[in-house]
Amino acid sequence: MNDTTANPDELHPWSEETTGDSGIRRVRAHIGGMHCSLCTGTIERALGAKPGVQRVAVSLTHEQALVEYDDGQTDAATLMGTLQQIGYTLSDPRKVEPFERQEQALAVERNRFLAALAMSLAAVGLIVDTASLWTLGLSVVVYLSLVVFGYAVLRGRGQAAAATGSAGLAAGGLVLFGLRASGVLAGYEPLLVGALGLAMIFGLARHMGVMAFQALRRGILNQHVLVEIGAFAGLIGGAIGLVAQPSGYPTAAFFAVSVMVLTYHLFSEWLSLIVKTRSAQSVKRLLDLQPETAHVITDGNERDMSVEQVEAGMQVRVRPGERIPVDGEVIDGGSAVDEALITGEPLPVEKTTGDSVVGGAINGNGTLLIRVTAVGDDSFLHQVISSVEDARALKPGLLHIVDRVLQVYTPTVLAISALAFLGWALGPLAFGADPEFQRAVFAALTVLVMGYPCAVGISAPLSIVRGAGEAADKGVLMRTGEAFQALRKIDTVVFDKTGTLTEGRPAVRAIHGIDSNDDTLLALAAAVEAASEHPLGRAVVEAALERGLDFPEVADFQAESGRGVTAQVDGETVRVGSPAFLSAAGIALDALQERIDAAEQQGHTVIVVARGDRLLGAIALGDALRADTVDTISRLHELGIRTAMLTGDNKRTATHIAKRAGIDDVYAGVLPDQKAERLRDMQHNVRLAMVGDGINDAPALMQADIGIAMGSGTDIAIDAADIIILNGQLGAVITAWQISRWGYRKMLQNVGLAFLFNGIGIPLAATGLIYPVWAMVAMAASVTAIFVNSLWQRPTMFFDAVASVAD
Amino acid sequence: MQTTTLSIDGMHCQGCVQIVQNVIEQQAGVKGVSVSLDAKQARIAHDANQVSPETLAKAVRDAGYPAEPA
Repeated sequence: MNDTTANPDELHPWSEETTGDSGIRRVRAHIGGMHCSLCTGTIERALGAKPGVQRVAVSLTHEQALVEYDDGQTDAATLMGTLQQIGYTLSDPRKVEPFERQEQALAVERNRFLAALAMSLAAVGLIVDTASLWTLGLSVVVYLSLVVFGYAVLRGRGQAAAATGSAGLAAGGLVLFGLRASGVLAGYEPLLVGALGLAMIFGLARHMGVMAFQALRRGILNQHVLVEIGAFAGLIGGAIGLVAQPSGYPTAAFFAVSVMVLTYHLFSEWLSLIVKTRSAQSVKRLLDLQPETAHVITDGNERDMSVEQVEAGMQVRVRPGERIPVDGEVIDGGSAVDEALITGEPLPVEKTTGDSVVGGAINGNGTLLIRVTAVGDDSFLHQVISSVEDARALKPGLLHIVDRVLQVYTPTVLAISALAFLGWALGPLAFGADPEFQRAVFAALTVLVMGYPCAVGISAPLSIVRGAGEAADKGVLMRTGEAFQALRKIDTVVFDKTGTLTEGRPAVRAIHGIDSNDDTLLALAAAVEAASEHPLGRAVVEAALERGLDFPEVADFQAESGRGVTAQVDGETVRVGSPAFLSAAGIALDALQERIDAAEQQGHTVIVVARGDRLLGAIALGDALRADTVDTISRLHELGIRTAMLTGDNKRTATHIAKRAGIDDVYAGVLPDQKAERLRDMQHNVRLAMVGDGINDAPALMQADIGIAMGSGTDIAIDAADIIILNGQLGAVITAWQISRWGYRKMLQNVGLAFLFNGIGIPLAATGLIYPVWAMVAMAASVTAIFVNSLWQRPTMFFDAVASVAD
Repeated sequence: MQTTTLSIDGMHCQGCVQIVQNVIEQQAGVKGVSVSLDAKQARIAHDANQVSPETLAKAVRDAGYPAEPA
């Protein structure tokens, strides 16, 4: 199907493949430099316009792009070159950014923010005007809010650290204020603050300017553009003050505003980075499932070889308990193999000569000799990985609400600024008065400075911090921002069967004893089965333990692989096994035949027990529905959400379980790489969430609008899920949905508050009567308001999120 | 084969139960285990020659749950 040309990373940082159609190739790359959700549209347009391109898919969250193109008309290098031309960077999607580097980046950004905070405090200290009580009061308010900000950021490292840190920051500003008040600075304050402003714009926050420039090049007006407009407006306002020196002109204040807008922006970028980094770090990779070495047999000699060197046709031995290293066909030996990887079924499947096995599956108690059939990218595991990566790029994206609002807001601010300028410059002419240029410029600049809704960039990350914190308390790990925006809008929830709707482990479902009571039957079966390694045996033992039964002594245990076991108990031979096993030993099953048939109809496995030649009874085992499955499904229906099941299992069992759970639609017999495809079909019409238990559901979890993984205690093997349920309760899906709605409302509130202060401030600024210090007040007030709204009663969530950034 | 009961503290929810279950099952010689959240205990069937009650208790403690043979 797919084969990959091995590209050395040094040559080109992208990966190419062929597709099913001849002449159509596919290229995948990891893209850096996407700063907002609008960038995905830009990339899709830019690449889509190129000749020969058939399909372009870009994912912002995962920073991946996938392009399918006609081999004859263009090539990967050209397409990737286009991306680089419009300012994006490329790297190989198979490389994972090391943990340490991500942590370092977080620490660097935190230090950068603290430095900016210090500069802001210094700037405020330098502009405070003791003469006017008004400005003094406002400045103090702004100053205090900045100090509290610093305290909140440092609080996670302990009260002492926070106190000394914020005291240090405060002291810096106070010292400068003292110098100013005592006249030492002799009117040089504007220059000093101007220097701070320049240091911020072109030094500390230089990368903001770069991002803004890149966005402008692409015709996007995002928050980076907005903050740079505000910062430069402040710079120009201050410069005018320095040059023209009109009386009463707040030169220093203009410069100070530049410093502050960038400080707040740095914070919002840092918080977003924390949220994004934290969500990507909690999982292992699918690749871990493949062993690194294989025992290769050549000419009767066995030696270990790296899996990468194994080729098709070689012979490999797999010992008991090992993970099978490659896809192959059994040529000798027999064993029960755990193929949860493919089917999700935890019950091992008997494999003998002629059966095929898959790399990554776990071998049971027997030794297997296999002939290798597929290696590398042809292997099943790699095809699953490939599916996941496809789905990753094809996953429906979301335009972030903030970016959408800014598309309208930014031009509006610019328009108002222009109008203010024109109004004051030309308006008076209409009344026969002189044009008020000074006021025009002042108003225009103040509008731009007031225009930056600094709290907007913090709205989403803060609501995510709070929402994720609430969810974590309830055993739900919300990993991505999408979890909030999209979950509340889904129409359908698709469930995997085994391990999701069901417990995923076989359990005793029914006991049918003839004459002897059920407890005796169970205890006997358990005692005998205890010596076997079969998961069914475990289930029987577990049931006996649950009832607190005593186990009789057992001797001479013998196992017949897969069929049954025998042992001596109190001098009699006891047989425990499949109905066929007992028939073969001459035990008549008539008394129980009906029960046995009924149980098997339900998809259960039946074990029969006989002592001597007397039939004692049968035990039916099966995978039980989780305790809250039926309840969860009905609650989803009450909320108006449709349910469906997607499973690799056979139709009979699937339909049976679906009926008991109350599920609307059933799709059975679906292989893992088909699951994602099936979801893609459904996504033409509906928005859906997929709930699965990880390993064999990874492509589907990635493809769904929202992927929800049931993480069992020790096994969270998914990079693909947006939400992970830690407490084993299916009902957590509903909890996640409720928190999604709540979190989104919080975010809307935050965005509203963010724009509220600016909404009032901008028209006031347009009158030319408002000094820049009010812009600072608006900023401080809106940020504080959002913090209070998001973290009310749970401030520790923020402290912890920030404190987790190491040194 | 021996049956051992461990009393276990600190299990809050089904997730914890599963962790304890997994930890115990991974010990060599364990034939089966039943963990009860309500009763705060685990009943374990194991080969006494391969693993002792104290070893089982320690494994659970190492996972973060105070445990003692009952």
